[in-house]
Amino acid sequence: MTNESDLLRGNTPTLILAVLAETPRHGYAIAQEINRQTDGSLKFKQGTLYAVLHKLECDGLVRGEWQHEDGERPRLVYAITQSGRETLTERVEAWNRFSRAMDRMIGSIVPGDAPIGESMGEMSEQPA
Amino acid sequence: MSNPPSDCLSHTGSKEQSDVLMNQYIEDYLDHLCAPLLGIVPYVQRYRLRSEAQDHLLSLIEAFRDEGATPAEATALAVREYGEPYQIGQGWAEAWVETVERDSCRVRVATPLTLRAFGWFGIFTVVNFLLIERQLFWTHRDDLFPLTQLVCALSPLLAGMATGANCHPRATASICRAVLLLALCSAGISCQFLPKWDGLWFALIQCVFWLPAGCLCAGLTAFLCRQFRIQRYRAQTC
Repeated sequence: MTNESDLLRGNTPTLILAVLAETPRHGYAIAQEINRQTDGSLKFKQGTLYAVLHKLECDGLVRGEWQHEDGERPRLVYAITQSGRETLTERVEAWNRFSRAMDRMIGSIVPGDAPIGESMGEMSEQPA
Repeated sequence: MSNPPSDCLSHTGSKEQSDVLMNQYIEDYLDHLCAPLLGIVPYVQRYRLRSEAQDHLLSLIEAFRDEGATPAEATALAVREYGEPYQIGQGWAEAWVETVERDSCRVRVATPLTLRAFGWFGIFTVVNFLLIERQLFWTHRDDLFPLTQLVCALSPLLAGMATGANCHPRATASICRAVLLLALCSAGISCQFLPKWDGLWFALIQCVFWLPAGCLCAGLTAFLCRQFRIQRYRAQTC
């Protein structure tokens, strides 16, 4: 669980950029879209998105703009910038390289098998 | 995150009264959400973050009510989904501090916390200054020496506690700026009105003792105050 939290924390900016690359959204819509596209498999507190959005905005990767519509509450809608699209592309490429490398390394391990340490111990005890 | 207060759950008044109680609970949640930002994030940014959080919470409540939840249930589910207010606020404060420290062109010298630290440490600097003057010029040198030493030792601790009572535990940079500026002012003023070495000695004490002791005390006070507010908030909402 801790590993998943760390993975999610490090990749939340990428998730947000990916959602905003489709269309501009406000914070609630970003959270709902992430939940929808991941089938709720990523557990996170929705309030944590805004700290990440602030950093992305300071880095110039997204831009926030207040929108006032009749009958609706004023909402801050975020849109990805050109710099954000380039950064998203770089991060997607980096993630693909990383996941391919991890698959090559641990892809043969099936969940439910004996822990890695035990299986390697058995291997070391086998005669040469 | 705990449920809304029991008076909301058991309230059998009109829908408007129930909505008022729910809004009060949300406003209280938002107050605790923004508490870690005081003295760190400027008001304009704090207001923006609060408005965004309020809109997000209300959207969550509407979604849960559409699924059939009662107002109290929807509010409880919404705040649980949004997160513990102090943890979320802490995250915002840390994100703000990181972006401000990273962008050196936009470092603000006179933050509200710097001014508050300057005020409290300045008051104790004046007190110490007057004691030193009195000891040197108006009474026998040895009469007030123990009192002067005691006041000089306690001053950074008291000033640190007063400064840290309502600030972020990590915002010690503001206190450092304030104390260093005071030490420079002390050195300059001392050379004008005191024998040179007494004034410079006091300025040196401010840099070597007041600075670390004040920062440590302020950080510890801020941490303890935050823990107290968290426990009180949880006790109120249980």
